[in-house]
Amino acid sequence: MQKALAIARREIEERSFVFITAVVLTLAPLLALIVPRGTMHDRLSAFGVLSLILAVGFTGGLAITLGVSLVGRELTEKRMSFFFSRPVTGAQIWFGKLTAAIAILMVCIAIVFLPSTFFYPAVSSSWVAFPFLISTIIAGSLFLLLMGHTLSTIFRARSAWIALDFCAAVAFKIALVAALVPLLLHRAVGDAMLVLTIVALLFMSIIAIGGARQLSRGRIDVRRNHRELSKVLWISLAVVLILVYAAVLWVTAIGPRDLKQVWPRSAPAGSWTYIEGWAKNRGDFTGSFFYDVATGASIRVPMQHVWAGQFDRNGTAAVWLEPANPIGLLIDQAFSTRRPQPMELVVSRLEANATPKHTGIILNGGASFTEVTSDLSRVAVIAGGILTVYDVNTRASLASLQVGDAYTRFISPNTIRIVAFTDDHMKRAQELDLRSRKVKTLFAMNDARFTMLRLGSDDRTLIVHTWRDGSVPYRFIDLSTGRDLPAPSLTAESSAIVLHDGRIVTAQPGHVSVYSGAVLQRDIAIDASSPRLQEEREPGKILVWDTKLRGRSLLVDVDRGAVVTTAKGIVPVGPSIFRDEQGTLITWDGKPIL
Amino acid sequence: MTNETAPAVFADAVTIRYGSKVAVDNGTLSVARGSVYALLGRNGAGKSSLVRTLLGQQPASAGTIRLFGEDVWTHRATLMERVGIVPEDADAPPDMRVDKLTRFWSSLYARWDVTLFNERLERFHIAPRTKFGDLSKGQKKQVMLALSLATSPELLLLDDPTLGLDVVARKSLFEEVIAELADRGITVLITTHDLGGVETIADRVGVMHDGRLVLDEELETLKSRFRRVRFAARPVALANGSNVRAWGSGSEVVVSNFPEWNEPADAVEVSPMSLEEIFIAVTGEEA
Repeated sequence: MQKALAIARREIEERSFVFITAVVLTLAPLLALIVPRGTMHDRLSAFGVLSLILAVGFTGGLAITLGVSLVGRELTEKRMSFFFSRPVTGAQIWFGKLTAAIAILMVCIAIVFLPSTFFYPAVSSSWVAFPFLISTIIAGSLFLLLMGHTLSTIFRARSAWIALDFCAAVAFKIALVAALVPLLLHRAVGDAMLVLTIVALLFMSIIAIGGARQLSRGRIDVRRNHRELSKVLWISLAVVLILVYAAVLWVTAIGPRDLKQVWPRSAPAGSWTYIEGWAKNRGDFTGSFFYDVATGASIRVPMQHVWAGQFDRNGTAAVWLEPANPIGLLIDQAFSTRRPQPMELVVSRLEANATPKHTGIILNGGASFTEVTSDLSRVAVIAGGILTVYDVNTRASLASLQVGDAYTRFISPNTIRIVAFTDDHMKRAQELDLRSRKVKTLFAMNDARFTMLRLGSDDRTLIVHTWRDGSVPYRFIDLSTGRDLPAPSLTAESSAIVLHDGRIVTAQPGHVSVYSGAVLQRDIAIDASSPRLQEEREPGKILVWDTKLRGRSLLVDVDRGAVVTTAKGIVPVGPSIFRDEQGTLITWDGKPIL
Repeated sequence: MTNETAPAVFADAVTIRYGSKVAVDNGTLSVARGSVYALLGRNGAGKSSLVRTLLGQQPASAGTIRLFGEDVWTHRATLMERVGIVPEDADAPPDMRVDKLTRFWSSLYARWDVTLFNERLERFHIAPRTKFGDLSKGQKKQVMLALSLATSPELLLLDDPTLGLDVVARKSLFEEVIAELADRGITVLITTHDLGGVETIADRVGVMHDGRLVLDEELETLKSRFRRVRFAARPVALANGSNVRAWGSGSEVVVSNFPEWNEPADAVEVSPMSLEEIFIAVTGEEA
């Protein structure tokens, strides 16, 4: 210890001129104060900015210079024998020199940042994150110091090992980014940053400790120093990588039941749902699954931009996108190229132990909408305003159509309905025949008001719901003729759906009405002052949610004219999924889904 | 052999390689405690490589090296407490003042004799506040010698200490060494080209040639077995001797086994040889 300190003192004495340079650079920005231009505040600001630039630049430059000359220069100039002829160990030499370099760096940082912190509080107080800035500069300068030493040791050796170092560095970077990809696919940017920070700290520790081994084993031989440092560095970093992979594996290994805060979206029918959420001790990692509420089966998927179209209309199949070229994704993540990455369409039946099928259909970038047929034979994709329908087995594009902002519904594997909204306020319902590749417009309207077009469950009816129009909030269009169907008169408070058999069901305060066209078939009294129709869960059974009274869910059998079940105190968080008063996700009948 | 009785330096079958180049090939030498060993050889003969390895600054590719019975690679730091070194190129930092160098030295060595150092510095007429880089080559060596001797070493290693020194400085350096030897009886290992200088102080001599230790012998024995013999004409008795060469109208021959040698009747002169002459005879080259 004493000998290391003696070496440190000698090193500081040898480099004491650095302190004078730091003082000169600290005082140089004072010239900004005597420039006869601008107000005093302007000059103070100029002083502050100039001080900061010089301080950061000087600190970075000094850190690199100290790192590069820590032992590298003496090794190259064959002057390390001065130390190794003395009764000191390699570790004492290293830690003495490292201590000196860190001490010089810290004193210089204190000198060059002094004006910013004390003399001009008006300027420094405007830097809200000043302590953070200083901490970052200290950490960054230590990193540069140790990185400078590493690179100096490597390049000064001029040996063939440099090629190995280069290969190892590239492999390490690729492996590290590859380890982070599963996190990034689940938007765990915070976790990824934490991993990178820990890796940086471990790298610094490896070099700080490895330098001692480098000198103890390498002594006066620059190439031997290089070899020893490389061995320590890459073996240690390999261990670090193993730890990183283990940590990432642990983070990503969560199952649906580990999710603590869940955002679900259920299929239009059936018991499958897409869920995503955070888990305990996993930072900002978002787990994402297709999950069967009824059986607990799950399919792990990358986190998606969730669209209803990911499910087929029966809730028995799903389609999603996965990165097709992990290397490309790595490069994108590593170099922030932000280029659209090729994504592969993946389809799967929603059933226990289902194996997702990678279709080999590659999209350049993402898609705004996807849909799959229940038999997994066709996939519709809307990307960049263009609808393309693919045959899954042959990967062939069956048809392509400019649609703008749109969604689709497969009526059959060869017929697809399109509901499209264009920038010129046009709203259309179209039908595309995949065999003839002909497009037929079924309905069109031009209205600047906000209007929703929903395809009815019967595949024949289009529900047109225009907001802020008290007189005709709903229209029901016969898609075979494009004309309005006779329909009940509804108010703005009403909600309406079309059942699979074409009947219209409306909900109004206190009752649910069933119509065949405009003819009222049945009126069912319900205990709901503000009911909203959710969906037809089973033939003839509709789900109603009362927005008042802190939530109430009712399953109404429209054929029997009776309320089958009621669940209280719940709010919907997705089609047919609710959250109860304890925050638990439940189905409409109160069963927890996880 | 215990550590107390072990030689100061013992190198056993040491080989030093740099890639495919062999700098020292299977060298074995032993330096007894209290003796002066002169390691001779031309530039590139492998002396510096052997010295660096003897000091534990680089590992041997094969063989073992022990100082005072301990492995030098493993126990270098401890052993250096007992070793004083005057390197071929004085390697102290050029910007460091002599007094700061002294302070640094004193913090590293347990056996530091400041009085001894100051006396010697005064004798050399070197100002303590002079930067090391501003000293002449001779002065640098003198400072390094003073520093080394002030640590009370048991082994003093002088690596070509007279290189680049003038005659006066060279003489002074050897006188310092001789004086110190007389005072303390320390072991000295010296590598040098100055064969005349070392001849007066060395007990044993090793000669390196092309990486091999071609000679390792007591100096007195060495000198007693080498003789130059001159003949008026080419000696008939030494048929086809490769070491027979012309000498005026006659010839000259170097014999390396003089005590057993039967002097020919036609020899006109038999003379002893200097170390330098022996070196030339052994290596076939000028030192």
